[in-house]
Amino acid sequence: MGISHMTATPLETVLFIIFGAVAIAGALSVILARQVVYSALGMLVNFVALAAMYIMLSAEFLGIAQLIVYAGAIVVLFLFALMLVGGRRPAEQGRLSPGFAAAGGALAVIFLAEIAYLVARMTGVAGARGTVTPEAIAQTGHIQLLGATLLLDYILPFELASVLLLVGIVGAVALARARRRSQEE
Amino acid sequence: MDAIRYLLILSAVLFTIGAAGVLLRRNALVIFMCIEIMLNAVNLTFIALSRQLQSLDGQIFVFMVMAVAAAEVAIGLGIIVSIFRHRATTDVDDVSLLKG
Repeated sequence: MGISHMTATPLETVLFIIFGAVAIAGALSVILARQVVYSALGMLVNFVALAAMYIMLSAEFLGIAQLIVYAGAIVVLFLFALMLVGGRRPAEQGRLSPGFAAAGGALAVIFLAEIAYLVARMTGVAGARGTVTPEAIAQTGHIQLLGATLLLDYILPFELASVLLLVGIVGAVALARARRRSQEE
Repeated sequence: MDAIRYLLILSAVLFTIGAAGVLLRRNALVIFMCIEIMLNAVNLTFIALSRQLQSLDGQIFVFMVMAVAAAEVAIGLGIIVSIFRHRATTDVDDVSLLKG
């Protein structure tokens, strides 16, 4: 089984290492930061590094969408929520019980070891190859190809996603109204 | 070089960091951020395998995950702010009304 056809130039390898290290550093700073605002900024770093990774994997539209939706909207929403709940205070008082911390850490390490073992044993990626090679994407354009797939083959999930977003908007408004009513009482 | 292995390992590391954060942190906002990191790790897997299989189907999933994440953050942060208004805390250990 060939996984060798997915080759990388030396430049791509270097960029992959850089962005991968930045993504891991951002994720680590989310869980290690003492103050929540630094966690939010670490998350921003992680999102931007992953956006660069998506663009390197010739998913340009998703890279830009990642920047707009995650690095833009979601991080800003987090910072707003942070301001409302007072972000300058330390994230949590007191320490986690040592037993719980050890159990959580051990579970995470076991999980990672399990996936690393499976990936090391992997001999290839099963399944039929499609026709959307990086060359085809470069020629036709990622947005055109993704748009055709989304609106021709996956129109029902697309419409369901828009219903989900509508429910999200209504839910957010309902939460905000409930809050105002409870303040008036 | 089989780049797919390294991409899968990278996304496994990111997912593990997110899972460890959910297990080890108690601030609701940080737990929420860790969930976002896990979603992003899975998105990276989808895009890497979509490139590997030369098919755009995986990228449609990423699109849907982004829509779900946006809705989830809007609602979830609203709930966290509501909890803070009522109980002046964002620590998940302090929100234990349902605990017997």
